[in-house]
Amino acid sequence: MKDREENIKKVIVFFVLCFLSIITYLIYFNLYTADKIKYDISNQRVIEEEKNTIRGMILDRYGEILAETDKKGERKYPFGSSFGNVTGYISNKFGKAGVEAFYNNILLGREQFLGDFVDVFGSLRQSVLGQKKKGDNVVLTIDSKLQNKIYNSFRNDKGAAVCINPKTGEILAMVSKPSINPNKIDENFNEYSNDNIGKPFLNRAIQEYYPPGSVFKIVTTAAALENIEDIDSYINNCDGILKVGDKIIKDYREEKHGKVDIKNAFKVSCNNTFAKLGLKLGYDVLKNEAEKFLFNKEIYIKDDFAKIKIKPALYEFNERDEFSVGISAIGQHEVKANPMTMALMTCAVANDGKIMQPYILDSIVNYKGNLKYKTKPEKLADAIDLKTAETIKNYMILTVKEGTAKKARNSIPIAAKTGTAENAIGKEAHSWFVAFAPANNPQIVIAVVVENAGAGSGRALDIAKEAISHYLNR
Amino acid sequence: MELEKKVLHSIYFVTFFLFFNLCFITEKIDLVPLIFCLSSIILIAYSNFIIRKFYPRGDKFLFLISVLLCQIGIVMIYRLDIKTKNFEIPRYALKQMTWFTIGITIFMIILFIAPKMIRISRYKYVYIFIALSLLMSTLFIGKEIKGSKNWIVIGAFSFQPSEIAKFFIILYLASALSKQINKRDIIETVVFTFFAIGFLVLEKDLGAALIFFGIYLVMLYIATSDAKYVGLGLLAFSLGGLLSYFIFNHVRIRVQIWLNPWKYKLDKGYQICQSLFAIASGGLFGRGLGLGYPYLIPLAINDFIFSAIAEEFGLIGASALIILYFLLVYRGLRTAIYSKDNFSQLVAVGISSMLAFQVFVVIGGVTKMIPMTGITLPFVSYGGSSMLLNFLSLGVLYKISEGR
Repeated sequence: MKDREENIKKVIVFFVLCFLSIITYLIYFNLYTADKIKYDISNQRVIEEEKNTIRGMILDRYGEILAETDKKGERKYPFGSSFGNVTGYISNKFGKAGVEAFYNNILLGREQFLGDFVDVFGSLRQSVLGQKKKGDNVVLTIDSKLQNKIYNSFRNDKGAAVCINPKTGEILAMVSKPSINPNKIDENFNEYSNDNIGKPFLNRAIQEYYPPGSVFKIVTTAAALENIEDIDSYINNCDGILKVGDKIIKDYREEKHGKVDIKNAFKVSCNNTFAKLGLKLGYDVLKNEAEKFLFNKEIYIKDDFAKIKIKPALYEFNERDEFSVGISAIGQHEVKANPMTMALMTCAVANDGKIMQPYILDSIVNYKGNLKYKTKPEKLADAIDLKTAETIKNYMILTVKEGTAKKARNSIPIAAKTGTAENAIGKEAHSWFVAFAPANNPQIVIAVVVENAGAGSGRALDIAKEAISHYLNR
Repeated sequence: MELEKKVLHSIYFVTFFLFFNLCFITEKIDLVPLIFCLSSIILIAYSNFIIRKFYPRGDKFLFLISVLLCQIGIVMIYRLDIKTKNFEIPRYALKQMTWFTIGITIFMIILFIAPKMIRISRYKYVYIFIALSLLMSTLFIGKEIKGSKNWIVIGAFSFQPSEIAKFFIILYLASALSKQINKRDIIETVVFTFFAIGFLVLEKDLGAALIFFGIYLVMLYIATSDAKYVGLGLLAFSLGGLLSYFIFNHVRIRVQIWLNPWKYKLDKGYQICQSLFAIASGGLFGRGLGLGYPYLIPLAINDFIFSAIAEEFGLIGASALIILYFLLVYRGLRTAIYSKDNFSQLVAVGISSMLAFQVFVVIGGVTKMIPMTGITLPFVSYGGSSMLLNFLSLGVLYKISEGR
């Protein structure tokens, strides 16, 4: 009998362990698994919850409404298409995209903030009285006037533009054309997704690739300044045509620039000089320099709540014969970029060689207007040293003063670089323009690409110039 | 004595508090829960009064913990009846309340009529005959509900024979193992248990099979005090499990769903995924009674009532429920320790481990800790046959605790 008593006690211990293991498992489940599965699409709670929540607003940096839910529960986007690639859309049929998707949890008030527990009674009252829960508002770094201005100045052209404050990394505008109208997403979704030429769902500012053309000469210049000892006394005799093996690299209209140093070559965007410099530097040095400007790197528009992938600019190819390396130094061949990456490259020049982490979420405020979160600017990379940055900055100022960007001359001192990106044979080249202003104390960096707008940077330059004077004179 | 009173009063308080809360879930204030509350409290108070007066020597905590579990169940079922804002009658809660009343009545009847335990230990072949015929019956006249062919439907009344069979298997094992036993006796129990479990696997009632097996191992261990049988049993279990995995398609499916339910979240794994969503949305404190969406879980009032409780009462409420079950099992095994004769002791061990295994298999299943098998949570889940069986077992357990 005594023996049995002992054994029954052992059975009790066994059951204690069984039950404890369930509780332990439940704790583990709540800590690690729960958050991963909570918002799965097949969880109907998500839909029920969204029905019972008034979705927060999306605002621009000055409090202008970019998206709000009206009394009928419909989502309205006052600016429509010009913000299509930024706000994204929300649809019962087609899901969510853009800010609506990336900051969904904030807009639905699911993110918990430190100050929230003070409001426990408020939310308790809400749920007892059956009031709808109110989501938080997302304030973007975007300047809606600037965004609209740029969007409209594209007129019917395809292309994209990005404006960044180089000192903080705030994205002031991110335009992609053609765009979608989020107000009419349900009606037009199929039309949009079948449009293989316009590709309105493609956010050209961060997801497309273009050859950067002469804009890339900023990288080549930086590489030359840092790697060639006697660069100051370097003189090239440009005769408009450079023979490399059995191929030739031509200057625009085969113009002969004569004897030029690097400064003047930059100013007139001399292909001959930069191709030669590229050959002198070689593939590895150019690649290394490009990577300092975040080519080939994983980069994001990032804050504590979302990571939006940017297609990184690419400088990487396997055919490394002289011709390929030569034209890669002038931004052709396999070199690829989009306005966001070119804006970040320009930021390094504008901001003493440092690139700030780009971000689009300025802050989060609750429905009462109380601040819940504010993004802090962070440094992303040290691209080049101060001296190199200053030198290139001066070249860019000179380019506006008396070089290829003369048309951008303005009461505000602007520093800029033009670009023409050859692409498919038989099609007009893409027109590129990167700039920052005021040149001595940069407030805004802009990178614009206009598809098939022809050589000479004209259309892109006009758009950028208008945007800069609009932004700085507001 | 004092402690019992305190516990009883706490149970009244919790019952009142829960039902009171139910009044405010619907748009209009609903007073029906208070009627439920009042009937429950009267029923509990009255039966407690009788127990104290006529059967004061038994372990009253067995009774108290069980009725508290029943109240939690009825509250949750009532809450799950309210799916829409304009609901009218709490259909299932009303039925469950009836089953609760009948259960208590059965408990009382057992106390009144049950003879001395030792006297019923003689009829071991009767018990096994009843158990096996119940299990076999479903093979021929059983109906497949929820993927298991373990229901018998007679008119409007349907019940699960395996629930009742469990009880008779315990009686059989206790009578077979309580005497002086030799190898032959043990082999006999092995054969009968094997048949019982075999039927259950054929009927796709894997949960019950698992529980039968657990009960058998524990009872054999206590009867023989020999750990080698446990080892052998576990070996046999692994082999049997492996074999049935390869032989039976339904076993394989259960395991696949367990390993990756998300792959089948829209068909075979729908139930378990919905159950996990519910538990996940509960978090630590739960959403609060009436504030979650537990009605989105399929079979929320039966097999998945634990997930519904976890959603609205959170990790804390769920853990409290598990601890309540443990206390019940503990009181049952304590009864076994203090019981006078071998037979009673084995019956008490059998009933306690039945409860323990059942709780483990259900909760483990709906939380995806182990593969899911459709089984009810004792005293809490909706269902007549399980309620009756549980109160029947509780009556026997109480009877045994009297004899200490």
